[in-house]
Amino acid sequence: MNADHLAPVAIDALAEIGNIGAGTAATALAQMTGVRVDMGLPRVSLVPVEDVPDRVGGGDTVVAAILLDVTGDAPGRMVFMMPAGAARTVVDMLMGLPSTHSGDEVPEFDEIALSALQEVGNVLTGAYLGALSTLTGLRLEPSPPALGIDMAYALLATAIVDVAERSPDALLIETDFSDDDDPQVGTLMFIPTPEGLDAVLGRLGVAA
Amino acid sequence: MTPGTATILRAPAAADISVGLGRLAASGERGQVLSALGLGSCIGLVMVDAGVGVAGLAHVMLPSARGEVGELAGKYADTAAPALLSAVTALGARRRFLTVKIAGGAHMFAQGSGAHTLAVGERNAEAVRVAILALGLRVSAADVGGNMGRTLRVDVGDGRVSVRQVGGETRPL
Repeated sequence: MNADHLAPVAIDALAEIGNIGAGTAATALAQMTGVRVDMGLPRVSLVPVEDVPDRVGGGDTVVAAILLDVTGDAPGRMVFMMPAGAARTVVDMLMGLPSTHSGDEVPEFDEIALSALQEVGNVLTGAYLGALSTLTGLRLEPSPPALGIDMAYALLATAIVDVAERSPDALLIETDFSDDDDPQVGTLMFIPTPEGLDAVLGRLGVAA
Repeated sequence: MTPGTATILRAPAAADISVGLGRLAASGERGQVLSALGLGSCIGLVMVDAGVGVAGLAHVMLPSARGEVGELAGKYADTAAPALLSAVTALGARRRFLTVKIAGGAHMFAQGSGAHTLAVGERNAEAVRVAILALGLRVSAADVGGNMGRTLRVDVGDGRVSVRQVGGETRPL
């Protein structure tokens, strides 16, 4: 699998997956927070695993990342990454608190806040995979969420280690979320394994 | 040149070399800094001969290349260690005066009910130690484990190594 072998028609099909999955997830996030959530155009890229953290960005800025394994007919991994400040704001909205975060300092997350972030990951991923499942007829099961709040590069590099053990490249389907107050609420990523990718494209009648 | 060895930059002096995932670099330029930003489960492997002012850094991602020779020697513990040794000795570092240090290998994503599979940090740290021993060298300082990422810096001129975590002070290694 390499970038030369991913046909334009396959990229279009995967972008549509990102569109439908993330659209459903954005609606779910909006329902949770009571704030309108907009989404950007999905980005589909096949890159060497080493380049994933730079491709997604963030460097050494502190983010919250929620990681879930996807099992079933199209295995892979989902990651929802939020700048730490945006994550704190989402938690505050969920808990009905006034926004406690201001400025550049790294916000605090207590146990309840960490649980709330995991729930955000559960709901968004469930919505995304549900939409993908409806579209393709594939059975997709998310694992319980794992969560880290740390440097973006460190979290992303760790998140793709499982992919790196099996393939030199990673396929990323990324969609950005924003709202009226914040142009970068988070990025939702689906990273199918090579087998997962084949399963999705096969169901859509598209060859990789 | 060893496969995967970064080109040695001659100029400008004092330029940072950021060593990304799976890469390695070596330098004999006084004033230059080698850095590995955001080491999570990865290991930053450092070899220094301070006497001659040569240092190298590898950003190791996985324990073993399983016999496959790829373009990125720095990606795997078992290929990174010998490749880094070649890179620093090629610049004049003396094997018997080499100091070897490691940092990283954290258990990221430690929060949450799904924190299950990601013990790769521990495996990486162990694999790097084994690979260093196999070269007849030993790790003299290590800052590994825990559940926080690290940024590592090596000052080529004096061989000093430092580690920083989010919200923490920069500490020497």
